[in-house]
Amino acid sequence: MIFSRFFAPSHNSNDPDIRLKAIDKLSPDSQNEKRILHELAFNDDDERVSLAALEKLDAFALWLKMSQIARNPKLRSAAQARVECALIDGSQQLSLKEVKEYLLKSAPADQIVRCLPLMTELHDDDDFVLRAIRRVGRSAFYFDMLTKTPSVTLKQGLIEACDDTDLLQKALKKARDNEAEAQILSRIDELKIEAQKPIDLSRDCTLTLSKMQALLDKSDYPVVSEQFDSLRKEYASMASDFPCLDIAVREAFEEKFTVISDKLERHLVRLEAPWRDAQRAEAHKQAKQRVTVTVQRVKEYHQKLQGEQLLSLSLGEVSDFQKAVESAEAAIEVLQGFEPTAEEIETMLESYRHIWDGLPTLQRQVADLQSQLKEWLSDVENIADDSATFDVERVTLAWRNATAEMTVVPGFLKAEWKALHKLLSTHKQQQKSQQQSDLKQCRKYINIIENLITQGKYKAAMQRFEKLNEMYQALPENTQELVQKRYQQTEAEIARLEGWQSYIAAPRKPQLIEQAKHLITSSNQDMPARAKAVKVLRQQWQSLGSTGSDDDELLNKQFDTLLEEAFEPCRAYYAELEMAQNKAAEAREKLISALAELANNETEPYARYQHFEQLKKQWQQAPQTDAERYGTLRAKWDTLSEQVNALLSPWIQANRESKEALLKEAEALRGGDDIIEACEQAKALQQQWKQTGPAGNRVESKLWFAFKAANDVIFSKAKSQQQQARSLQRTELQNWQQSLEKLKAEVESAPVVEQQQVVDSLNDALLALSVHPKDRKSLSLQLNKVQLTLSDALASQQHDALIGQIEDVISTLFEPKKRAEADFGSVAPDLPQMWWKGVALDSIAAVQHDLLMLEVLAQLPSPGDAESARSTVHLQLMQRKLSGESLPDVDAIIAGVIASAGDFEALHGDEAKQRLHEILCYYALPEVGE
Amino acid sequence: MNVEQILAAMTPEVFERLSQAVETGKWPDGNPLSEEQKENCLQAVLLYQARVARSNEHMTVGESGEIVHKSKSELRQELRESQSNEQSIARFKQDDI
Repeated sequence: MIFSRFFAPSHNSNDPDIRLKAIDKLSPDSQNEKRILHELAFNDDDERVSLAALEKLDAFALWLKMSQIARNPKLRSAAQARVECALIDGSQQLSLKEVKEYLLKSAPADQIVRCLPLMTELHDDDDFVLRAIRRVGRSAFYFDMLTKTPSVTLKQGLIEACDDTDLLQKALKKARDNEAEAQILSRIDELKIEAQKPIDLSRDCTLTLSKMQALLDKSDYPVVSEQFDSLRKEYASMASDFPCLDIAVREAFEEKFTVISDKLERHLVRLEAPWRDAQRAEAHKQAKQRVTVTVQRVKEYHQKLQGEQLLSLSLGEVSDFQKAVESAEAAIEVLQGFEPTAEEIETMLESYRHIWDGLPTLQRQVADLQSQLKEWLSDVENIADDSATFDVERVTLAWRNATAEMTVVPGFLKAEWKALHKLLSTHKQQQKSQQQSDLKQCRKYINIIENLITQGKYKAAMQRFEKLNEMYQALPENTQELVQKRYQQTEAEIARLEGWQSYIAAPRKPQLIEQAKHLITSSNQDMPARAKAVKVLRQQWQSLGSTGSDDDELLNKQFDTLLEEAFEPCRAYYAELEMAQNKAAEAREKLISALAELANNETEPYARYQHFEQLKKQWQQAPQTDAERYGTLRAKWDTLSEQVNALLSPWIQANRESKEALLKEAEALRGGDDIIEACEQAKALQQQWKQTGPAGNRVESKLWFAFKAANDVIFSKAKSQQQQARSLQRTELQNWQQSLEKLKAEVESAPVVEQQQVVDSLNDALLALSVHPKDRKSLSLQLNKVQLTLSDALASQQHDALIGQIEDVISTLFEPKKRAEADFGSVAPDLPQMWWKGVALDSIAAVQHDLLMLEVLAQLPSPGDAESARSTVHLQLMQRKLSGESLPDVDAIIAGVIASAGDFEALHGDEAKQRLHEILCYYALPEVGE
Repeated sequence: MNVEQILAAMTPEVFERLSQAVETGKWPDGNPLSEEQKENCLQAVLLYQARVARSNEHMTVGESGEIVHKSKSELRQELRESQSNEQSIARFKQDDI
């Protein structure tokens, strides 16, 4: 085995040079050596060995493999160079197809970029080149290929396939020939158009969809339907270009189209039914209109049948009439499709259809009837002239028979018949009314005569009867029968009266003359009664009538003269009365004009109201006028009053409301707890009431009484409360006065300090008492008097006590025994305690000096021999005062004097004691010191 | 303390007030002087003028205890002196202007 180590082949040597040499010896033809070469090519560490092995093998597939897997850069680049050389220059090992396949499937992009431009033999295959370029996916490579390829076909193909405008623009700059330039330019234009197309398409599509959307707001069915169809077609044509759009945009458009189409279809369904109804209604209307027109035309022809033209109708006119009827029938048939036609029109048309058959007969009948009517008319006119009778019933019957035979009765004949009939009726009516009038007149005369008889006017009754007789005789017999009975009664009555007249009048008339004379002589000032008496006498005289004799006529004249004389004062009286009434009317006219002025002027409501009230009062007080004039004036007055009332009523209404409000407030105050406050408010309300104007006559007093009652309740409450309070005060005052009297008695008998408290309490009580200020002042004076009495008594007591204490002190002071034991504080408790705490002075001169100083300060007299010393002390004190120093403390000086008073004999005299007494009194007693 | 001592201790201000009180009859606080006070004040003022102030003014009590009377020329002389000591304002006669 060791030999195998010695005889190892050289290609396995560790030395690469040896391996390189060994490769020269290896042949790729031998399988074993080929394997070894493979091994060396792909697994040797040294690149030279690998390259040498690959050179030896020299296979494109191995170079390719090495270029793909080699880790050594040199080795890889060498392998790639060999592969690219093989690709560019061609190799026997590779067919063109294999090259293409390699480039399209496994060649790296960089390799394609490097090789393909140089592989010009492949440039004829446009499809391959384009695929290779797409595989590389670099625009720069596309640009290189486009500019550098010698193949015109490829260039054109690349230009056509290019979608990048910028690239084409760059290529345009590099283009050398016009043909390529033109092609690039056209391609750029195409691209621009293609780029613009989706924008235009989406815009158009949006517009179309918007139009479709807008159709939803329209309510005209045909327009919506038509436009929807056209827009749908438009959209369909645009949808064929949708592939140029983005999928999202396209889907959005399609979805919108679907939604809007659905909406529009629903919208159309909604619109269709009303539109159909409207169409039908329109057709119905037109059919109706057509029927109206045609029937109107038929009626126009019918008018001719009604007139005298019927007698002269031509064949042409008849055929026109027929045609009109036929067209009307056709129109009616159309109308029947919508509604049933009126029965009368059909009947009319039906009747017209048959007229033509019997037209000649009709014309003859019409002519006959026309001549007959003329005859009747002339007869009627004759009746009016000679008052002959005319048989109306017979004529009417004849007319009915004649018209019954006719198919149509022309209007002119009807009109003539109507005029004739009217004439007959008028004539008959006139006759009847004349008869009635005569009868009425006759009855009236009978009534008048009866009345005159009842009134005793027999003469007049007899005169009227003559006229009645004439009228009665003029009446026709049948009318006479109606009043015959009454006429006969009246005739008998008149005959009876004529007999009585002369008998009654003879003795009565002189009596009436006597009465008239008596009336003249009577001094009756009651003019209306006098006028009435005259009237009664006149009536009585007239009732007696006139016999027509001379004596009677004489009596009549005498009676007239007497009555005239008796009535004379009445006439004057009535003239005066009329004058007064005229004046009264004038006064009332003035009032009316004043009222009119008030109604028209603009014044304050209150002033207007007052003026109006004043005028009303004047109207009531104005003197009377006659009833007729008063009625007219009263009407004017009432009209103007209404106007003024209308002007015032809002103001009065407002016043009324405010017064009602005040009343409510017053009523509300009644229930309040604080009656004093309520009183104040009630007063304020009363003030407001006064300031408020009137509330109308009807409610004013009612409101006022209610308001017054409410206020009375409040004030009565307040009054009772005040009375209670007053009695309470009186009691308190009495108690106070009793206390004061008691105190007064006590003070006068035995004044004590405690009484001061009672005085103070009484003072407080007086302040608390609510009494009249004058009373308070007098009570206060009384109390002050008591206070003064008490104060004086107390002061006097205190004074006496202090003087006693001072005397005790002085007596103790000048008795050495007592002084040694004395406790001045207990001896004189009311004197200042500081007086007992002084330090004794060392000399009598000092004591004298202090005494003088105390006297000077108290302005008490000093002994005469100390005058000079007093002046010195005085001057000293003045100097101190003027120099701003404080004056010496009096109590301290007194204390010093008291402490040393007993030590000096010179002070034991009465004079010195008196001086000290006066000094102490001065400073101890308040009324002295002050 | 006698009157002399009091006067000696009296300050000019106090004397001034005293003389005012004598002249006006009232203390500086406005209260009127009693008769005793008037009398004592007057005496003190006179004494002060004589003993302490040694007044040389016209119609005052002089050092000798007598009232000083000065002649017209003496008074004019004094006036002139006092004027010369003061800073005079400008004086003009009627014709100067």
